[in-house]
Amino acid sequence: VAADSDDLAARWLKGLMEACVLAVLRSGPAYGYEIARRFELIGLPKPKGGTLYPILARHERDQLVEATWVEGEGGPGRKYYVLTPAGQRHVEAIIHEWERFAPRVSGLLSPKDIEKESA
Amino acid sequence: MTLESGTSPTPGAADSLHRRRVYFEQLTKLLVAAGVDGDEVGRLVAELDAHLADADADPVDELGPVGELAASLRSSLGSRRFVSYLVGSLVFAVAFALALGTLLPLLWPRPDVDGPVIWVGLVAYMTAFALGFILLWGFGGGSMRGRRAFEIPKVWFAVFVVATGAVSATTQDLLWSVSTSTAVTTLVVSVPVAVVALVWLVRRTRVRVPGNATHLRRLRWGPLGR
Repeated sequence: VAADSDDLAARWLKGLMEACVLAVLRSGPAYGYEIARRFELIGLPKPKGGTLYPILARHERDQLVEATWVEGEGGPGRKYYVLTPAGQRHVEAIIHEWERFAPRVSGLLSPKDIEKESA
Repeated sequence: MTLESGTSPTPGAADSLHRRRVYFEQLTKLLVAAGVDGDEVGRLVAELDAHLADADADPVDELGPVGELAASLRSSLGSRRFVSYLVGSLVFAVAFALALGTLLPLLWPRPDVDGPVIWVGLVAYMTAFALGFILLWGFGGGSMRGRRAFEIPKVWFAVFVVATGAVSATTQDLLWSVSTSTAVTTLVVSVPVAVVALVWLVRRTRVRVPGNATHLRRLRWGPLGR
């Protein structure tokens, strides 16, 4: 079965979405749609609202982010999310784990290893 | 594409706003029924509506089926179902007791006993019975966990009514002998508590959406309706 690259990326991202949302907020406060756009700007699939907002609500409940409602001037209001110190620590811990984990997966999946296995 | 005050949408935009309003009405109803605070629901709806306006997307395409989103948000928002259940039960119990207290003397009249004592005694008796039954049902069955507030299976209403009737019919003497002091004490406690609980429930289930999006101004309130 041929793998569609966007579909694969979306599936891989699924397990990392909670961490990625926090990581995106390291670059500054953002509202929901802006967070989704930042994914797109760095070449990742843009998360759907149905995925993003439950994650943001969970992070807010767990006090990893704080949210502030800002009334819009002539447009809709926005709920801005900002990382809390606990959120900052949480995302740093995840990044630390990821840096240990990702090279192992890359090593396993690299073309060199695959060729070696099939030989 | 959010409709602001004083603007007229094109037919396509009006249709899009209608779909969003219908979607958010359903979402609001599901979340409020699950015990999520009305103000919190209002802010969430405003946020999601702004997202849809930015994305220029259909609600189902962008947010998924409303039931799935509500289930996902419900676990994330940490609803207070337990409190809502108890308050709802209390209001229900007192209302039911008042209704039965009015009905029973018509079914089993006692011409030799008259006056306010009967009514007060009946109400007290039925209040105690209803509260006891509901609390036993709730705690004993563990039904409050995972069950939406106010969602009581219909069969239990039937059992409750039959059991109430049977107990009342076989204990008429006890029913009539409830003392005035006990009855008044029960009323003094239960009725104000029920009134406060009802006010709290109405305030909690009132959804206020921030911002000026006119299509979201009249969302339904959930279990209490409007």
